[in-house]
Amino acid sequence: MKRLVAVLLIFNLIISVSISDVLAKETYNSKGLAYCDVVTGEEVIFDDDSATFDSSLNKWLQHAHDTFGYCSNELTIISIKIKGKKIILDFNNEFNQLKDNSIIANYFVNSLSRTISINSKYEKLFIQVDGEYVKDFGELEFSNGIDLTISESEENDVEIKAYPDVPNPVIVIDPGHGGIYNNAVAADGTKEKAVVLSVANYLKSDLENKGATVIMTRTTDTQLSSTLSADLSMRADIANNNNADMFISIHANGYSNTSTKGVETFYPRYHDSTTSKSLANHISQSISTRQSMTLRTTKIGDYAVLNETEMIAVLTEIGFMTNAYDYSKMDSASDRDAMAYSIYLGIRKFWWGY
Amino acid sequence: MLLKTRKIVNIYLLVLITIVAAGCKADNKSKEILVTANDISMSYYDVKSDIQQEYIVSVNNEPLKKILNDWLNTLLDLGVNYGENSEGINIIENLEIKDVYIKGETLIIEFNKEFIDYNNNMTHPIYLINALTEILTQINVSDVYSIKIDGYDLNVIHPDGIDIKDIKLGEVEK
Repeated sequence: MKRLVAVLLIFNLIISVSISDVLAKETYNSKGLAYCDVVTGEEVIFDDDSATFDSSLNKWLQHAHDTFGYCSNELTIISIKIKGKKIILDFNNEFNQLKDNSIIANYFVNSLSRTISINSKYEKLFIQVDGEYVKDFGELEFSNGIDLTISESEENDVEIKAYPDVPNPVIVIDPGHGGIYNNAVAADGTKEKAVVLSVANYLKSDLENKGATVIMTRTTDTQLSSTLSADLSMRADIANNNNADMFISIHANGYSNTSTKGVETFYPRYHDSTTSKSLANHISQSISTRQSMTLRTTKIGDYAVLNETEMIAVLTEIGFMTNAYDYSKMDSASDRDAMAYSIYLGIRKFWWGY
Repeated sequence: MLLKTRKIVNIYLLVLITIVAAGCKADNKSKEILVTANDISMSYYDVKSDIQQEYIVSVNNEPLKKILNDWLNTLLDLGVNYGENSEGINIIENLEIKDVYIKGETLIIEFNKEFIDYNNNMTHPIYLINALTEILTQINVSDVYSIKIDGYDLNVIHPDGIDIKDIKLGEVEK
C-alpha cells in the first residue's frame, strides 16, 4: 500500500512538474530585454529565451552590469513579490551605490521598468532594498511606484514608417515664438523662445549631418510678423512653399502648478494625422527615454501651424520650464544639445527607420 | 484599446443623437439649438497627471447652450484648471457660453470675454478646445464651428496660436 502511494505521489509530481513546465513555456515568451545605451542614449533590445519572467529579470540584471556597466555585479535581486498589478523587486543594499550617478540610475530604472512593461501586465513597480521600500532616490521619485503601463500613444503607435526612397528630406524646424512673442518662463527668468531656438539650432546640425535639408523659420530672436495670426501663417508658408517633407515646431511648456512635468507632442487633425501621430510618438518617446522625462500622451492639436501646413507636422513641447526637474533638462547648452539629439533620434527612427 | 472603444462609443452616440435645430438657417441667433439625445460622452484631461477622464451626460430635449454651460460647471466642480486669469483665478470659474447659433454653415459658440484670458502665458486652452470639439462632433449639427468672443477678432487664442475659427468637426483625416 505504501509503495502504491509513493508511486502515485511520484507520478503526480512528474505530471504536475511537466504540466507546469508546459504552462510556463506556453504562457511566457520573452519579448526581450531593454537597455538604454549609456553612450548613444538609444534603446537596445536584447533577445531573450528565458523560460520564465523571473529568469528574464535576472538575465536583465546580468547584462546590466556585464554589458552596460549600470551597476556592480554584486547587485542582486533578493526576491520578486507580486501584489495584484504591482511587482515589488527587493534588491540587496548594493542598489544604494546607484545613487552616486543619477544618469546611470535613470538608465537602470527606466530600462528595468521598460523590460518589465514589455514582458508583463504589471502596472506598478516598487523597489525595495533589504525589504525596505525605496521612496526617493536622488532625482527619482519612487513613493507612488513606477508606472509600467504602456501609454495609449505607445499602444496605438503605428509601425515604423520609413522613407528609404527619400534619404534627404526637406525638414522645416520652427522654433516657437521669438521677438515680441513668448509663452513659458522658467523660475530663473529664461524665456521659452530662447530655449527652443537653441534646441532648434542643435537639431538643425544633427539633421544636416544625416543628409537632410533643413530650413529654419527663424534663426534669431525675432517675430515673423507683428500680428500673431500672420506670424503663424508665415511659419506654415515657409514649409509649404519649400515643399517640406516634415514640419517640426519646437516649444516648451509652462504651468502654474510647478510639479506638472513631461514631454508632450501634438499632431494635426485634418491632414497627415496618422503619420504625424507616429512621428509625434517617436519624438516624445525618444525624449522621454533618453532624457528620463515623463511621457505625456500624444494628442491632436488645432494649432495654426499644424492646421496650415500641408505635410507631416508636429508641435512638440519638450518639457515644463516651470518644473525644476524638466527645466534641468534644458537649462544649459549641453542639455539643449542632448535634447535636440533626442528629437533627432525620434525623427531618424520615424523617417529612416532606425 | 481605449481609443478603439471610444470610437465605437462615439459612433454609437452619433447614431443615437438627433438634433432638433429649430431653424438652422443663416444668421439665426434667435432660435435655440435643441438636442434631443440619449447620452453624450464628455472627457477632460487633468493637466498635472495627463490622465483623461470620461463621463456620460444624459440629455433630453435640452438647449445646446445649457448643455455646454453645464459642461463648464462640471469641469469647475471637478477642479479642472487650464490656466488662471491675471488675478490667479481659474479661468473656467467665470467662463460662460453666451450664445450658440448657426451662422451660414458654421456653428458659433459665443463665449464671454473671460475666454480671452486664455491668451495669458502658460495657460492650456488646447485641452478645453479639444474637449469642446469632441462634444460638438457628437452633436452633428454642423461640420464646422467657430469660437466667438465679443470684441475679439483674432483667429487664434494663446501665444502658441490655437485656432478658434472654422474648426472642422467629424471624422479626423487619416
